[in-house]
Amino acid sequence: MFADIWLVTNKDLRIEWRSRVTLSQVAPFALTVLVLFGFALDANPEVLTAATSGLFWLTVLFVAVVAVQRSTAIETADGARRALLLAGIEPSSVFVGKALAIAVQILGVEVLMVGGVLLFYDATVESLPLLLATCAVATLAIAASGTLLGALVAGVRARETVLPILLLPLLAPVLIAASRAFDDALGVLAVDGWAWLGLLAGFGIVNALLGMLAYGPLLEET
Amino acid sequence: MSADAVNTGSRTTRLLGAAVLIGVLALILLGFFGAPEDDEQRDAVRMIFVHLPSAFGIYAAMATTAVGSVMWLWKRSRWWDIVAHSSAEIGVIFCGLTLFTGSVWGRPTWNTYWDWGDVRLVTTLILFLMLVGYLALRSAGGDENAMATRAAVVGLLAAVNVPIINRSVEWWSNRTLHQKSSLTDGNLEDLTLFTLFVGIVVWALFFVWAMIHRFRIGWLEHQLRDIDLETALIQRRAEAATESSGEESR
Amino acid sequence: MTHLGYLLVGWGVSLGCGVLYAARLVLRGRDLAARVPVEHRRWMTSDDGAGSAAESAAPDQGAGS
Repeated sequence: MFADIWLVTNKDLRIEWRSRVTLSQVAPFALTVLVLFGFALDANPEVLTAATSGLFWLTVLFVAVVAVQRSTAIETADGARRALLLAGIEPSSVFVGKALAIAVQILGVEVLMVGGVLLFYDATVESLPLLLATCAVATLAIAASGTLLGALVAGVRARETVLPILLLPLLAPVLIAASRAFDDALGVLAVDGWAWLGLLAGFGIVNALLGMLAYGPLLEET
Repeated sequence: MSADAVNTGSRTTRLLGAAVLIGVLALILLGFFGAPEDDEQRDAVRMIFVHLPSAFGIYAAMATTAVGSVMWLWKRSRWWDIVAHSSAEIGVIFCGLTLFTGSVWGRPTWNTYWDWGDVRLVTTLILFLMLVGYLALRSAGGDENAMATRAAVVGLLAAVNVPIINRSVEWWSNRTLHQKSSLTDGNLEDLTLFTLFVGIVVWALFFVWAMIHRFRIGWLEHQLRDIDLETALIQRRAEAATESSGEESR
Repeated sequence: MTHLGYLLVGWGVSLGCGVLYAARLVLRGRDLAARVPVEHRRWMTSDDGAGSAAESAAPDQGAGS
């Protein structure tokens, strides 16, 4: 099982590395959005500081939509999904593998974005462990639900528009919880960031389990 | 009534429809003239008679959709698939009405149409968006079985995440304008409670009425797709027959 | 009566939406029923009997026919 997961993750990441779409398009996109938020808020330092966490995670959600769309495109092109199934890999392993690949890409972009936030928004890190843990847990939660919905819309004609409508409302709790945890980690608000992290973990576990169960039937249908 | 009736009505739906109409009339009379006004809210409290039944309707519709989704994934039963789709569509309407009547009610009583700090308000809004997404997915078209599976997974995702959304919004806002529970705190007058009960029954009857009609529409659409497929097959066979009669096949 | 405007808007929209949706359901049902041959509208045939519409619309297995 772990070998299969690694196989799928490795495959997706290698395709991504060869095309360099994440590096050359998604990361600049994320930084652009961060800069544009600065313009929109008139570069008002106080407002920017107060809004940093929310803007950060909103940008991550946009990045996630793009990453999931990429990941789905890889599978639908040339009937690669069928080939994966025929190769005898458990659908749940494919699910975990693809989710991990998406998570790695989003995490890569987040590292850049944390740098951007420190630079442009004048943010200061008060609790590094909380910051890192939030990034890790929230990203896994996003990747899990994103991978599930990516497989779900794969066979739909208007999948570019249907995916955001389905994914973004579902990720609303992640936006809320990760933003509050970041508020704590960046010292913006006096909230209990670790409690929010627990909520994030709960969301991630529930949706990952549902994804592992539903991935098989979804792959068979399309 | 008879087999050649060209509509989705039947004796049961007509009875239900008549009951709903009478019930609405009774609800208007009771709601506006029967039930007493509230000490604090004055007559604005009369909004509860349309607001709360809609909110209950969401629960009923979501539960039906969740059960229908599970049954499709488990038994591959077209019947349950259509039930899930039907109740989701009616659920969107209940959800929209709950949000609308809630904000119209909120203006005179809370002094605002919308409050981001209120748990149930924000949770309902996110649920509304999810249901809209569900219907958007349904309307995308494509293979019927594949679409049923996709929709079932989305329906389950929505149902499973409602408690998490609720919890997150609750922590986030940490304050709520809503009454804790309108039904159980015992502050409501007897006639108010009775009117509320009438409202919930009327909404429930309407839900059943709409479910039956909407189910039959879904069933007819399913039949039409089958018929289209059959005629297409027959046409293809006819084409193949004429082709092979002209030249030697195999 | 206080807040009459708010009440009328809330009640009006609620009942109005119900009426509009009901009308849409009935009209859509008529349109579709006219396009489907009689033998495919099977729940309607059993409706003359004692069983309720919900029951007759609920065969054990929906798929098939």
